[in-house]
This record gives sequence, C-alpha cells and structure tokens, in this order.
Amino acid sequence: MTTEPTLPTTCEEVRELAPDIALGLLTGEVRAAALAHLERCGACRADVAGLASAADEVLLLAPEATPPPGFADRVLGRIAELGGTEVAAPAPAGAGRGAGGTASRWRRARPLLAAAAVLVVLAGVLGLALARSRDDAPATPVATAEMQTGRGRTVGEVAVSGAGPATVEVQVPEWDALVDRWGTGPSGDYHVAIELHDGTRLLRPVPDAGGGDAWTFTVEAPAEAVATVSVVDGAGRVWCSGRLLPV
Amino acid sequence: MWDVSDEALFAGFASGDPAAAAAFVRRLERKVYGLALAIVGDPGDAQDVAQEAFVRAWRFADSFDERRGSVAAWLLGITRNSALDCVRGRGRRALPTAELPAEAGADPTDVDEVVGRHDDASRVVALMRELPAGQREALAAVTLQGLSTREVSELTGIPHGTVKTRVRLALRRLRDGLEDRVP
Repeated sequence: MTTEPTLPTTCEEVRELAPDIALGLLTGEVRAAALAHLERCGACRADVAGLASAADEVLLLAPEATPPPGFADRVLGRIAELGGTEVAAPAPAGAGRGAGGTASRWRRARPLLAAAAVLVVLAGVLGLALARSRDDAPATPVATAEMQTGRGRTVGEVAVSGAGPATVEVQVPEWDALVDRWGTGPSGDYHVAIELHDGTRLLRPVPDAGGGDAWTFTVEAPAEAVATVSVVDGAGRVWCSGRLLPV
Repeated sequence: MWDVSDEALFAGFASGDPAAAAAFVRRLERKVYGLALAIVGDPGDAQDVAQEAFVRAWRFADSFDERRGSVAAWLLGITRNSALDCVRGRGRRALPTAELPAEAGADPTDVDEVVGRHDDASRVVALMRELPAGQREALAAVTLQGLSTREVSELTGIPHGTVKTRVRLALRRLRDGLEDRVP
C-alpha cells in the first residue's frame, strides 16, 4: 500500500484505477475503496466492465500450444462426470462412440440437472414463502422476481419487503455448490447489486463459500423503491438478474 | 467439418450436445492451453488450468454475454483467472530476467508474428499495433503473461509508476478502439 497513498473515493480517482480493477491488479483496501465507489456509480462501473472486456480481447493474441494427447477427451469426461455426479444420474445404458460414452451421459444429465435446479429453485421459493408466513408482518413481500441469467435460465428468486428500510432476500440455490466447487467463479468477487428506481445502485458482497445460498440485505429505502437485483462479478458483469414486480 | 461460429459451438457445449462440445473444446484447446502455459510455465499445471477453464466455462455458460465480446475472449479471460489462481496458490513462479523484453518469434507482444497466427484477432492486432511499443509490451506482459505491474517493473527496470501508467493508457486506448469499431 505504500505505492497507493490515498484511497480512491472520487470518480476521477476511480477512473484512473479502472484499468487496474479490470485487470485484477488491485488488492486490499484500495480495491475495497474502489469497489465501494463502483457500488454507487454506474458510469464508473460501466467503464470497468468495458475495460475488462477489452482485456479479454487481448488474450486472443496469446501464443498457442498443443496440449497433451487426449486433453479434449479428458475435459469432456470431467464435465460429464460433474454433471452425472451432481444429479446422481444413472449410469449410461450403453456407451456411445469414442468420447460419446461419457458425453452421452452428460447429455442425459443436463436436462436432469436443469430439472433439479428448477426443483431446488421451487423449493427455495416455497421455503422463502413458508419462512415469511411464519414471520411478522414486515416480512410480507412487496415485490418479487425470478433471478434469471442472460439466457433466460431461472436460477433463483428475489423478494423485497418493508416500508423502509427494505429487506432484500436473494436466493440462488445452486450458488453454494458453485462457490464450494469453483471458488469465486470466472471473474471472482461476486456482489449483489441492488438498483433503485431513482438510479441509485448499491453493491453488497456475496458471502464467501459456506455462507449459504440465501442472502438478506437491508436497504435504506422502501421496498417499492427497489427496481432490480443482480449478481455481478468483480468486473461488473451480470451473472443473473431479476426485475421486481409488485406481488 | 465444423464450419460454424465459436458461439454456435459454445451454445452446444453449454447445452450438452456431445458433438458440438467436442468440436468446441478441440477448436479452442490450443488457445486455452497456450495461454495457461504462458502464465503458469509448467506443462502439467497448464493442463490442469486449461481443463479447469473449460469446466468453469461450462458451469458458468449462462454468464457469457456475446454483446461484450467473443466467446473465445471470454473463455481466455476465465483461463487467465484460473492460471493466476494457480500461480498465486503455489507462489509466484520464478521468471528469468531474460523473459522480458521477450524475443521475437515466441514473443506474444510481437504483433507481426501474432498476425500470422490469429486471423480472428485481427481487430485487436490492428489496435495493438497502433499502441506505442512500451504500452503494448506492458499490457501484453500483464494480460498474456499474468504478471503484476510490479513484476514487470522488476523484470524490465522500468519504474513501477511508468509501467502502471503504460498499462492504463494501453487498455483505455484498446477499449476505445474496440468500441469505435463495433458495427
């Protein structure tokens, strides 16, 4: 920290560091201060996201190298193994050709995985509803939304309640397993972004692995003020999002 | 055989189509493994990193947003992060001081050499070519070799502040150029 004598708090300071954020070069309190600013500033957040995408494009220039023989088969086998394990899929009735033996199991497993995910989501939604029914009046949801990925896959639910401060409950049932298995994901440092109708954007850190897959946050605003809730990575890329609709 | 886009193959990869998945992995394995090797330096570790990158891409397929860039770039971003995790987990590899500045041929910053290998990256190559050499080399070292700006400074003898400034300017210029050229 001796090279960063001041913590970034203004747009100008954060913009200067935006490439470092996008490249994952910041650490410690400087990074925390920068992220705290991004939580409040959509323009700086968009700046960082654009820079991160540009940095990814540079990687197209990486030198190519031939991996050891059988690499692709091992990758496909590993993915098949993960899919089969997670949904306890039955062993394939008959092996396909080549890598298709594992891959065909994978093809069977994916719909099961999706179905299991839906069931878990439904269970989570029911759990939230049951929990709310046992709680006091302030927990009655004012608005809810499904958390969906950019491809429209439902991966969880969000509910907001309370006249202010509002309570934001996010549940992404697969999240804990993802974090357990893969650390912080492809871009790391996931946060929940809560966007209000007035344009204010609040960023809350997703708990570390083991912190569960249901998260509750408090917002100094009425529940009706919450417009969207998203899970974003450290570069501001959206993993899933839900636009709240009144119950 | 597979005269389809990376993105189309990736869609099959994500949804569990075995043929598309095999084609996707085989099409990009040299890029992914090559980047992993460039960062971690050890073939065994590079293979683990490359495999994990593909698996992560499968697990996080829904987070890919094609509006922000190509699936190859996205996958390589995952690869870089996986490689950095590997490097940080075992402690920073010892880099020979001769590694920077790199020599022509194997140098990922050698744009002329790169052009021949990566027609699909021609847009980035053109933009990189427009950067001052110092900026280009600093950005390449941080992205393609996974070095921190301080490591680049130590390896090249260039002041740390100068390296940071070069990386920042280079990435901004590149981003602006990419945005200008998006149809």
